Amino acid sequence: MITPSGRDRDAPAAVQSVVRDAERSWRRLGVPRALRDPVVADVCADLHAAYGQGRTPETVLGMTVAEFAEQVARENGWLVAWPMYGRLLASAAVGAAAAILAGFALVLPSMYLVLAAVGHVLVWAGSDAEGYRESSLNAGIVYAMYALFGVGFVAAVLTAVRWGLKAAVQLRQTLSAGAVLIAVSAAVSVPLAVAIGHVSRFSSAPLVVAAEFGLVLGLAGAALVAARAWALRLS
Amino acid sequence: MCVLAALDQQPSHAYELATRLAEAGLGEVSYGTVYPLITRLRRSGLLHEQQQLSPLGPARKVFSLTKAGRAALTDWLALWQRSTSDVEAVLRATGVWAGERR
Repeated sequence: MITPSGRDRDAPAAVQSVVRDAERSWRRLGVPRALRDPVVADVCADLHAAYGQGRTPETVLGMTVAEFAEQVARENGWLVAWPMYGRLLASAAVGAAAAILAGFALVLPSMYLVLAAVGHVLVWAGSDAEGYRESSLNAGIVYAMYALFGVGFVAAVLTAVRWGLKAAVQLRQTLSAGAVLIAVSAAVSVPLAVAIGHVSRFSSAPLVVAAEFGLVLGLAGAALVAARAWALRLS
Repeated sequence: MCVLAALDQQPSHAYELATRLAEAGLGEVSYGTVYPLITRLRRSGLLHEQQQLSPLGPARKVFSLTKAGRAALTDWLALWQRSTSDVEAVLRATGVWAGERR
């Protein structure tokens, strides 16, 4: 039976292991599945046949799997800067999801705690508690916490991208440009999302919330793609 | 040239080709060396590939020479014969050719 990746599922474990390692090397380079699958199937079939004649994959290759994978990649013209947009966005989505969950779990409760603590201190010091809720100090604390969340969000997204594209060329340039462009996208998308909130009277209707999140995350994704495209143009 | 010659004689799978080259006297020829080489020749348009069903396992690719591959083999063979005869002439002239060494 042939798996979707082209590997022969009936092949012995030793063959599957070697082929899986080679495939992983190509995947890390960013070689699209449509290109690597036929080669995976090809190599798997040959190693399976050799195994049937009593030869182990290591003996047949005559070199390490990494060396073989690198030579095959070179001869196929795969040692190029692949855009890897799919993996870029998938990794970024993982980082964004983690940041949003952490935001709801940590930042929002922390913000309420900090606001309450500052309020208590002001009341203890004899200030007007009602006035504090409307004060610029209160607003400043709220915006500082949101900014903190924003920085954490960008850091989480870029960390996830760094992990997801660890073997990609021009990764450092992608991350640097991404940090700048995501900040720029947030400068555009967050006020727009707030405007949507104002217009909808801060409705929590799913459609409104989805529009706000979609706007911010969509522009952040576009910023990342633009950062990657820019980084590849430099190579 | 050896790969093209072997495939001109008989179309083969990559692994089978490595075995045939070794048996023909090329020494230990690994699949790891032959497969990338075949990939290069195929991308250069010198080889043609065809899926062949196998009763023992999954379908495998059989490689054969294209028209361009045959032309390249002919050219390389002529080049090889010319260069070996030139070298032989030099060796004879210098007296180090086997049997003629003083």
